[in-house]
Amino acid sequence: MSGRRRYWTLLSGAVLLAGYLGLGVYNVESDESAVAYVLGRAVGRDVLPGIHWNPPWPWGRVAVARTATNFIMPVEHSDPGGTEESLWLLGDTNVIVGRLGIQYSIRSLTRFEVSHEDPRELLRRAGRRIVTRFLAGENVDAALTTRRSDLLTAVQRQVQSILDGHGTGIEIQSVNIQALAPPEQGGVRQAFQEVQSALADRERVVEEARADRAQILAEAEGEAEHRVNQAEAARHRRVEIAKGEGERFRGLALEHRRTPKLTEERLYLEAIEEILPRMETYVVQSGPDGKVNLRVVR
Amino acid sequence: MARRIAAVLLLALVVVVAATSFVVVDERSHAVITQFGRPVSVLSDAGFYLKLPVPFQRARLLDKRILITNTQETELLTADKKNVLVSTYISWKIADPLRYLAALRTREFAENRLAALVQSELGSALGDRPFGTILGAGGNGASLAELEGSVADAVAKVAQEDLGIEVVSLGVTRLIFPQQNLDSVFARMRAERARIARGHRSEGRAEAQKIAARAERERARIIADAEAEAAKLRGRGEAEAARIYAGAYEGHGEFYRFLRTLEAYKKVLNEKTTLVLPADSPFLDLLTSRIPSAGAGPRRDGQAPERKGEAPARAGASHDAKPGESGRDTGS
Repeated sequence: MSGRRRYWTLLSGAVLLAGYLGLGVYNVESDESAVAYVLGRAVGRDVLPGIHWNPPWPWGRVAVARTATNFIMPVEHSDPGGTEESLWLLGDTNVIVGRLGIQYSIRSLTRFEVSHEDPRELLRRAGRRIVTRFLAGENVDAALTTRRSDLLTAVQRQVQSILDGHGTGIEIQSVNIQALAPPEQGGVRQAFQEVQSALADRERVVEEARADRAQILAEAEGEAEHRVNQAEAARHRRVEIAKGEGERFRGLALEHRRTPKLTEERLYLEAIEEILPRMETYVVQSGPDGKVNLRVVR
Repeated sequence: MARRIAAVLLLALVVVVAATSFVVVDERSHAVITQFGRPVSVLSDAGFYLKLPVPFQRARLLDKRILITNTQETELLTADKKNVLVSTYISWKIADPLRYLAALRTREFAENRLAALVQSELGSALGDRPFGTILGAGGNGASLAELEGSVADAVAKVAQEDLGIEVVSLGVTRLIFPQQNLDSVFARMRAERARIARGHRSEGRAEAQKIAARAERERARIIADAEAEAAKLRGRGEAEAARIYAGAYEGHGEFYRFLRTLEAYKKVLNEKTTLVLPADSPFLDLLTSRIPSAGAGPRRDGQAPERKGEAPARAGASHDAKPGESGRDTGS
């Protein structure tokens, strides 16, 4: 009887003990890592994925967290006026809308666990701090254009250095800009777009002037060619006419040499024949002195 | 029965004593051991420690990690009386647990104290600086970093000495104008952009005008060149023609003059010309002398054939009715 009771007591004790020890079994998924503490000290630092055992409470404690994933920490503000825009002050006292994202992962869970009460909050604050500081040293044109990539590297480097200074075990993978633009409020963005369209107008006006110039020059070339061609044609005509007339004259001259009187007479009569019909001709009797009294004609 | 109850009570007592006579200090914590409320020791290294059970000694766990406190967004004035909204974070840790406990007791107190300290240091730091020196285009935010540094130093000094707190870092997370000032900032930005836009447009127009003027100049040059070329060509034509004519007329000067004179008559004498011919003009010789029945006077028939082969100019000269030689014709 007493032996049997002792058996049951032992058995239930063993089951309880096994159950208690079984509480120490924990699982680490492939994208996780874990830190195991025994009597407050971190033992297996950054435990690898798989099934593990660690002494259960109060002797030990296990922290498991996803670390292989990349997390995103937004860097933005809420507007003092309650609008959605995340405004930052620039060095030229202009104001800009900016939203960034910091992609990070937990490189060392142990440090992440031990160093800081809330490393993510620190990351958020450090991000805002560095962006505030960077933009406070920029003017609006540079911030919107040439300095964007410098902003990214500044945030990545300086935030990482703050995190390292706190020993957080967070590693920034990359920083990206989700928005960096003039504010919508007060019509500012529209004014900036107006500058863009003014730039486009300027390009267009200049392009049009260039096109006009090309057209004017092409027309001028055409006209120039036309004039030269005309002159060339005139020259050619002049020369050909000269040749023709020269030829004709030579023919006549040959004939004239053969029969000078006859030729001259013929030419004379031909000419007179042509001329006289055109003219008003009066035939008058010449006076005794052989002179013509023109009064008669009048 | 009474013995049984006594045994259970004793067991319970033993369990309580056993459970409270040790402390496990985590890596993330300090443990402060107090004896009747008075701190006696600080356990800062992780591990398992024995202590007197509860009524005698208690363990108070404090965070050993770095803690973070955000200050609320506050409106502050710069030296040149500009309003700015500023918020900060401060990260700190308990460096001296005993002093920390003595001064502050709870985390909430500590945070309020720190926040107040930061606010007042920030207020006086901003009050010392004109707004323009806090910003600074091109300075890479160095002036803001300098401001943070001076506030952090001032806070760190007080926190270290009075509160047992070590300041790890302090940063300005927000720096902006209050809403009522933002409106005028927006107006200024708008005006500036409008000016820039106007500048672009007028630059474009000026450029276009320059191009147009250049085009006009180039056009004029092209036309002038062409005209010069054309004139040269015409001149060459004249010269060539002259050479050809000269070649053709060479040796026939007399005949050329004769022919050319006739040509000139053809051109010069037109409908407007009135010609008066004397009846005895050689040109009319045949007309007046060959008709026998004409009552104009006696004509000797024998004369006419004699003149047949002669040029008309000479014919008139031998006419008997005419005392002198007259010209061939007389133009009016």
